[in-house]
Amino acid sequence: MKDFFNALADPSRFFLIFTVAVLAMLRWREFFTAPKVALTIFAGAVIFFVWALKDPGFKANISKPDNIPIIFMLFLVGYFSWLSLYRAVKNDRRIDRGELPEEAVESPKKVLVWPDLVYSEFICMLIGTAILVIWAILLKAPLEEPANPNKTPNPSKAPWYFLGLQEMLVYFDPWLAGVILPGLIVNGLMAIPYVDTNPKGNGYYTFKERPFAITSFFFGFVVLWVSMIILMTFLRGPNQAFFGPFEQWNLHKVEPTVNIQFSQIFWQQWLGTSRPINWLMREMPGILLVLGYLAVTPIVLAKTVCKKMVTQMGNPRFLTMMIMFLIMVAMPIKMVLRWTCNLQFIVNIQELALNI
Amino acid sequence: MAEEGIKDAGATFFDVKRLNRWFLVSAAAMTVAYAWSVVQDHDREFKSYQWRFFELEREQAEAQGKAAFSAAGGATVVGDGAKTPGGMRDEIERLKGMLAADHAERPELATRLHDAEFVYATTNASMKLAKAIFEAERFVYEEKAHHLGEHDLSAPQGDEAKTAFAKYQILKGEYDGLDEADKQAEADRNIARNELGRFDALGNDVATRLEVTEREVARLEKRADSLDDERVFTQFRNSLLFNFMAPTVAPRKFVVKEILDDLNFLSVPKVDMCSSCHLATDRFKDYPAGNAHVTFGEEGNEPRFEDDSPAFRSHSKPELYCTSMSPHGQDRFGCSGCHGGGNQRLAFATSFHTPTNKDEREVWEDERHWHPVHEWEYPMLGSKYLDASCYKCHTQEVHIPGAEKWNRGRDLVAKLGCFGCHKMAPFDGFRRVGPPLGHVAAKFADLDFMLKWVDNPQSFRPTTRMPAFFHRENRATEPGRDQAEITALVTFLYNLTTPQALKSYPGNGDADRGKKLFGEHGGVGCLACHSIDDFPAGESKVDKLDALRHGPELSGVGSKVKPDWLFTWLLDPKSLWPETNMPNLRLTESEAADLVAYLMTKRNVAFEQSVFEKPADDKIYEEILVEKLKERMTGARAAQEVRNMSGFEKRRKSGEFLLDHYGCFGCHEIPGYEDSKPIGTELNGWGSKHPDRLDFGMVEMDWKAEGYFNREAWLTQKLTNTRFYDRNKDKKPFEKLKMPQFAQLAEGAPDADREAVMDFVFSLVKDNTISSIRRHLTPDEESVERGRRLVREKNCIGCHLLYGEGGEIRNFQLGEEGAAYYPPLLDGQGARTQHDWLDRFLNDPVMGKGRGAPAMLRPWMKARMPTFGFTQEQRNDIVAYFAHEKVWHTSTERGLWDSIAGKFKRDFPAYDDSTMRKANHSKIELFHDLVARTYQRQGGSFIYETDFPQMSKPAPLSDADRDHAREMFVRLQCVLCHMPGGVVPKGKTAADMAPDLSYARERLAPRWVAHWLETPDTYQRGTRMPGFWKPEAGVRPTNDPNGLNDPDLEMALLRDYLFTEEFATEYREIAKRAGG
Repeated sequence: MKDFFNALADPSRFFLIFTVAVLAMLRWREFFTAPKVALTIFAGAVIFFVWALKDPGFKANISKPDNIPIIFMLFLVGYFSWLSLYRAVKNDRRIDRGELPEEAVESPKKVLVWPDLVYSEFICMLIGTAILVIWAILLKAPLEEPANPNKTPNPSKAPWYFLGLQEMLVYFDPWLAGVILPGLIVNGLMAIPYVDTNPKGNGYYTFKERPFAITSFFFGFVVLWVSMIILMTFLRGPNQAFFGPFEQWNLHKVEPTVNIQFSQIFWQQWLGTSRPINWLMREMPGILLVLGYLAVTPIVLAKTVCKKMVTQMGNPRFLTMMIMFLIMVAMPIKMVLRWTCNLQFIVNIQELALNI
Repeated sequence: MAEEGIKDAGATFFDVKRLNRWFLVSAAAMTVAYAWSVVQDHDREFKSYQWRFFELEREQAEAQGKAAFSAAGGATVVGDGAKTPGGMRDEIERLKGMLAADHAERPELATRLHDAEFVYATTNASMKLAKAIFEAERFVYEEKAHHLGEHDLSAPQGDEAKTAFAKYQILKGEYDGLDEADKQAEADRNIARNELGRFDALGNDVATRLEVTEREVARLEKRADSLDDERVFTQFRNSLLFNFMAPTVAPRKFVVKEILDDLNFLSVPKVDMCSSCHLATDRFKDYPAGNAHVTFGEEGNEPRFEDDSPAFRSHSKPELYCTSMSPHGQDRFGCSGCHGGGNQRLAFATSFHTPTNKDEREVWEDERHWHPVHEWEYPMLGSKYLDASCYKCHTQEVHIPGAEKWNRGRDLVAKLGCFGCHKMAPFDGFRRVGPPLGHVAAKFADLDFMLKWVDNPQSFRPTTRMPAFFHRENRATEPGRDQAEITALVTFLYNLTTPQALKSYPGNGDADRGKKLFGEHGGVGCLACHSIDDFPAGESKVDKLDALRHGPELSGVGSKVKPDWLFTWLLDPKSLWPETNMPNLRLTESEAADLVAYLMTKRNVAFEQSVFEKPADDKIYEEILVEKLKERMTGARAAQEVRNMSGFEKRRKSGEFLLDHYGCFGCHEIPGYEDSKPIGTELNGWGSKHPDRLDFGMVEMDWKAEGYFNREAWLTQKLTNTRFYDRNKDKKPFEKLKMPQFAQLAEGAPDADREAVMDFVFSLVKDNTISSIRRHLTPDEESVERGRRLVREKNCIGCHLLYGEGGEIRNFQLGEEGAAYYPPLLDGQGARTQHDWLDRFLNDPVMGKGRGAPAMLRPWMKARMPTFGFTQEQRNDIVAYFAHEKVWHTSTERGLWDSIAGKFKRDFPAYDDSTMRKANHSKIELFHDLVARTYQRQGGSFIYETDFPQMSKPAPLSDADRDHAREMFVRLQCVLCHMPGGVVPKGKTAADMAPDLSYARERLAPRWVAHWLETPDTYQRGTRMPGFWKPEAGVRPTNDPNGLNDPDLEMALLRDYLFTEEFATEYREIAKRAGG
């Protein structure tokens, strides 16, 4: 049984299962959000935890004070995903029947700042602070040893909320994973109000009215962010090697990793010749591929499947959105390539220290 | 619409009353959480120790008050003694009463003195007047008598003279009377004065006692007051929220400026907060020792009350660390500099306490929430290994007084030669421990011997220090490989060998004579270093023999070496191995031949009969060669090269690779490998190496889980089984662990030895002390340390007993006469002999008499002082060592020494008489060192102190003095024992004999002789030399009523006589007469 879970936790399988699960949840949301089904899933998760906690290694990993917030997060993400979809399903049915969404019926159009907003916020703040204080008392966070550059902790991990970013470092060059992509995430989030001018779904839950936006969100947040945090926290051990949840974190575990560049695949495997000495020539296929992905795909999509979207949004908005979206999708693409072909970089210009 | 909403209470989205209730609940939760956090912050573990300690202090103060009261002679303790400890106030009253009574009595005595003074003064004045008149008149009479030509002044003839004489006589009579009266008055005055003096002294005594008692009461009161935790103020200032002002319950710390904490980018002075909980460390007079948790709770160190804890115990070695006279005062050295640990942590579980053993660990885990922690690289040293810290500062010493385990570890590492492969600072530049291998063909009986020896050294000699390289567990899967490697190595070494000029053994030795020479009554000295089965050691003699004897066991040596080699070796070891520690015993050729004959009969038959199976074919050599060659060429080319080699070349070449691999040159000198670097991990700094950097192999995870992931566990396992960490590892032969196994440290060997070696290795740490705190030796002291090292390396203490250490040859000098053959003690050697003489003696003990010559001073001895071939520098070092070796501080002022030592013993039970009787050398040394510090500070001196480098000589004697001294020398019958030439007279045995005095003039130190004559047994316990001048001796050396009767003068005379030029001749004459 434990071996089975260990096998499932292999990163490619883990990622695949997670993606499929999220997409399935969206597709068959009516089934999954039914309280009985959701409760069964919740109970299953709890049973799994209780059973897994009997394993000392798993328990040690889970109950590390640093990892507690991630456990909370897991259940919170699950709960809120369910809540939003559950209410979206309800509202979709009402809209189909020509009724107003629940939220519109429930609350009047305006509420008072005092007491409805400020007072309730204040109460929430008090409760939140109390919880944090008690948490700090119960789970101590003492100072550790002075930092020693000769002896870094193994594994060295970022704070939990950055673990997704750290996981990207496995697939991208540091200048991308550490500088460009985080910058794009922040900028992309800031751009959303300007890109997404569709008023539907404001103030109420719905899925049918915003399928693309919500699917993208679930994919970007739950799959690419949360699942990476889980992966990084619980499944990566010493030397950043992968370990199943019930596997011992043995320092000496060796991972069979080799690095293959796209230029090697193109020139050596496909064309059966050695790579050109000139780096521009050597990397040209990769450069073209990347440019093609970012420049040609939006145009092709605009002419074919997304015609309606282009007319709704207008060209500039569509292009901005599409490039952001493509960069997001590049992440899983690169991961899959890494797992399946050991592909390290698509463009690998050591001469300029530029890798993509 | 909005206005309507506001007017209408129902228009709010949330129900305000409900919100209020929520607010109440959340505010309460917030308040509780906040209060909880404040209480948590206030309630620290160390505070509970401090509160409890205050209580103990108060109890202590009360108890002490009561004790002080009864000690002061008081009657009963009144009151409950809570505030005024004991009833000392009563004592004060009593003393005050005494003083008052005294004051009433004093005036009477004073008046008496006053009156007596008056009588004396007046009498004295009239006496002086009468004396003056009488003396003037006497002169008048004398002058008149002179003029008159009178000659007998007592009977004047002429009238005029008679008249003057009569007048003078009358005045004289008057004066005599007055003089008598004056003396009487003076005596009376003195009596009165003494009475008053005695009375005042008594009064002063009472007054002093009163003052002392009052002070003591005040002190105890103050202490009790300051500790009285019931006082509201103390409670208040330590209470929650108010304790920011002047709390008494607070962390305590020592800032140690000279030992640093390494924070990686920064070194900062240590701040040791250990004393926040360990509150009684320096209070050894009030709290029993037992801070070392090792013995806490064991028999004899039981908890004294329910919540007793090591925190309330004093340091177990306060004399070294916690008093004002301690060489390592707490305020300067702190705690963690030696103990290690998290010095700034204030909780038991997180301050890196290290349990001593598994049991303690379990108790800690259960009761104290202890768990292994990783946040600090310097965990507390287990109590077994505390000695290791001494080396941080005492880097230049060979033996550190008191650090017994470390000293033993250092000796073991030096003898086993660990530094051959592992570079370590204390042994930089040391000689390789094994014999050179450049001429093996000349030395060993046959090739077979070497094969079998390398195969399993212990099968030939179970006590050998050669470790076992082969037949280890990580080689079990490669049958035949060991045999092939051994054959290859031996082939290579034999091929390196060069011929060596040997004297040929004449073949006429007599084994019986040789055996006697070897061991009868201890023999010529072989047994001081070697052992052999024919001469088992006596049981109850000096000590049990050390497992690591200086020289090899010789029971099977006949199977090992060639007679020619042995013959040459015995005659002059240095001709075969210039650096050997084996000295030259100046054997004659016939003696050497006898010894060879004897030793060649000592064969190890079982070993000779065993068979070494060489590999049948060259397959394994080829594998070895290919594996090594492939490191620098392709497999095909390697195979080609190997194919081109002859069978011999294959073995030889594999041998060369293997020699590099195993690093044989670490211990043996091998031609061509003189400058090869040691192959092992450098051990400098190993004591600070992080466990993460150690290869735990596959056990790592298990050990991490069990918490044994530390240096101690790793090293124990490594030494016990050097190949252990290869378990479950699949490696190529040359990748496998190759450290050989020392039988002395393997499974089943004494744990104490392994721990000693570990202690030594732990002491090699990254240095974090500042130079000012380290012990620096002066050039003189360095010379002494080199001398100390030589004395041990050359095994002087194999024969000689040095301050109770060594003297192993005594185990073999059995029989009734055994003691006669004991080599002399070396205690105080530097003070006993002249430095020049010692230097010449070390250079050539028979001063040019050559091979076979008997000893100069003690010709009856069987054991010979060997010729070591010391260089001048080495001799200087040894002489300096003996001259400065003051460890056995025998004091000149016995009384002062005894009082200091007595106080020391009372203060520190670890040094009381019963413990010291069982103590070993190191502890005795430490004790003397510590007492000597105070003794010297108070102006004491030592008899072994000697002038260095020059000695003064006595002045020549006058003829009369010499006659007198000679007479004394004869009467004391010195020659009965001190026979010239060591002749044993009839009716005496060798055991009665004493050194030849012919050499006294050039040999003995005059200062020492003086002391020796006075109290010989202070210098040498159990000596047969009688102390003629001791008060209890009864017989006076001289009984001449007209002559000298002053012992000091007599001793000086006799001593100076020994140093006269004429003594040598006269001595022989006296002896001839006595002998005839």
